[in-house]
Amino acid sequence: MGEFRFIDHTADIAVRLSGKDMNDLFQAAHAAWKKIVIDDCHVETSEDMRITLHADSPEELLVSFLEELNYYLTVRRWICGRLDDFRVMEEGQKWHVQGRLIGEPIREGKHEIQVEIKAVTFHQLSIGRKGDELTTLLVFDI
Amino acid sequence: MKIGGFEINPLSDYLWEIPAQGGMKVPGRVYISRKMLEKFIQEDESIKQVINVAHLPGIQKYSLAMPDIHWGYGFPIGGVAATDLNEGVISPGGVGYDINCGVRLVRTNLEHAVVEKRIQKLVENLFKSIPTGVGSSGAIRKLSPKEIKNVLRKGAGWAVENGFGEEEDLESTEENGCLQQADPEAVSKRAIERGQDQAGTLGSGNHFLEVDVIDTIYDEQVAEAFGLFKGQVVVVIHTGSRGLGYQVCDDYLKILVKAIPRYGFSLPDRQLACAPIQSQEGKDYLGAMAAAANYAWNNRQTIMGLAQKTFMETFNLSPADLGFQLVYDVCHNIAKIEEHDVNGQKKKVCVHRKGATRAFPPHSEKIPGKYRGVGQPVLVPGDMGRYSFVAVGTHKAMEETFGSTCHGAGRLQSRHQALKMGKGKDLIGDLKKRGVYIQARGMKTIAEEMPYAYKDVADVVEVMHLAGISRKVARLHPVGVIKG
Repeated sequence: MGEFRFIDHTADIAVRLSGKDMNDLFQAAHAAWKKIVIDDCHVETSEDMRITLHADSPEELLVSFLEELNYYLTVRRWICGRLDDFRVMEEGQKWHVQGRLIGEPIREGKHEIQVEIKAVTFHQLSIGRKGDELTTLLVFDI
Repeated sequence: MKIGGFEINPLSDYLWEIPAQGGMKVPGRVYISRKMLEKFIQEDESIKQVINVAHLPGIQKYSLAMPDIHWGYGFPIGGVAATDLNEGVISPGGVGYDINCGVRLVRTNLEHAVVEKRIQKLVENLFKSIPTGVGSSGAIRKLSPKEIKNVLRKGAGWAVENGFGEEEDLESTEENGCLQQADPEAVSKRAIERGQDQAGTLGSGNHFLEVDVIDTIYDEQVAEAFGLFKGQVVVVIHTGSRGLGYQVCDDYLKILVKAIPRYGFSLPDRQLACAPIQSQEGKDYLGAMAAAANYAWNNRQTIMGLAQKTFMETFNLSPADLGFQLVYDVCHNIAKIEEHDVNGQKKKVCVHRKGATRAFPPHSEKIPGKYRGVGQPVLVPGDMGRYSFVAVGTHKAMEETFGSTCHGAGRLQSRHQALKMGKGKDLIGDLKKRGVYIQARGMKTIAEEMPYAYKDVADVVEVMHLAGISRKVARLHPVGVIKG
């Protein structure tokens, strides 16, 4: 799995993601998101949700993917703890992600939600290769 | 002087100009003191963002920034830009994710001595009746999609119809609490779903409900017109359109990013994505944004209704004895079609205020009749330990800033720094020593929102006062706070 590192940001939360490929980078994005919203709370892997998303660019796909996690969290009150059968693909000019979100319903007393993410922004979001790795900065508006 | 590599020249002690260069269609202008410019703006990218905004098609006169300027997405926070209605664009980045985030000020007949004895009970009761925190919900029953669309059409009027407040509250709300161009059909299903159970909730972060006491009056005549006096207990509510508004911004940023090549715009930042106001995308965003703005007005009106009930129960008072009356409600994240003087001609423009407050002058037809002799109330919240301000709009604001002024303090420390600083400290005790009783969902929020994490809002308000854009009327000191 890829890695993430928080960068100090005055108003919001910025994180530097890296991974050996797109799958890895998206896994790192999920791990960062999970750390932000529930810190180190354990998430049972009792339920799964299938997702399929499409976008014109990997950046747009990454934003859509994280927004999907936020949607499940804030509207369905469901937290994704792990990604399974997860694939990020490029076909023609389009980018796609498909896989399973594994997690459980939010439980009062068990999951303490740390932060309300207003949005995943496009600010300085640019996935590029640095050496052997793909990397990008990602800023969450909170 | 150079800030972030960009030339910025003083026009007066409180106004600085960035000359138009490259693709800038107008100069940039920043209302700020030299001290604040050197201390706060040196390290961030906000001056670059003022320059970026000056590239927007159809921008009029200046790309403006208020003294609480700081780094935002696309526009800086504290940014103001007016674009030509026919040839200009509208940009979600000029409004922000929290559409119609704003502030309302409610006066009461109570004096500090009465409230002081029961402040703990009052804050506990407010905390019980008004949901706070991440994804907070359930202030009122979950609304159906059809009911949400009614909220989006009617704004604060929906809350009044449903027993949260009085008809006269609407007169004391910017735009009477409802933008008429709201188009609920332009709001996505997902945005509506996010709004269904969040009406009447504060949310988290810097949003709050405060019980304040007026400790200073700067202008007796204007304070009297606003119904304010020294020692009076007032309530300040700061929140916005919650998840529904965030979703509208998200949805339209994606649509407008894709529209950029179609219109042949050359923009320095993708978060400045925009569309011509008269295009279908522009009209759709304006309609959806107005709908989200109405949701926010309904939200603050509902919270006010819940707070009134809580005050009445806590102090066993009738509505007449409590005198819970709305002074004014202002939005500080919005784009609105307004008429302004542009180079000697009256012109309709789309004024983007992102972290900026409308500040209309005396005699404006757009402000309530009762305030026309003095000007529009301007509400500028500070941090939860020091103070907030009430100011009043001026003619100079109309001449120079499209009737706009500052909106708040702005963070000084990151949340991480604030958490580190608060580690091991008795933060609730520290606030108590300042005379502030607080209840929040968790210690983390309290630590992140401590006064030392924010700039001094007095410096911000002072710049606009001395620049003649908005004049100080009263200062409010918090005594009770609820937060997410």
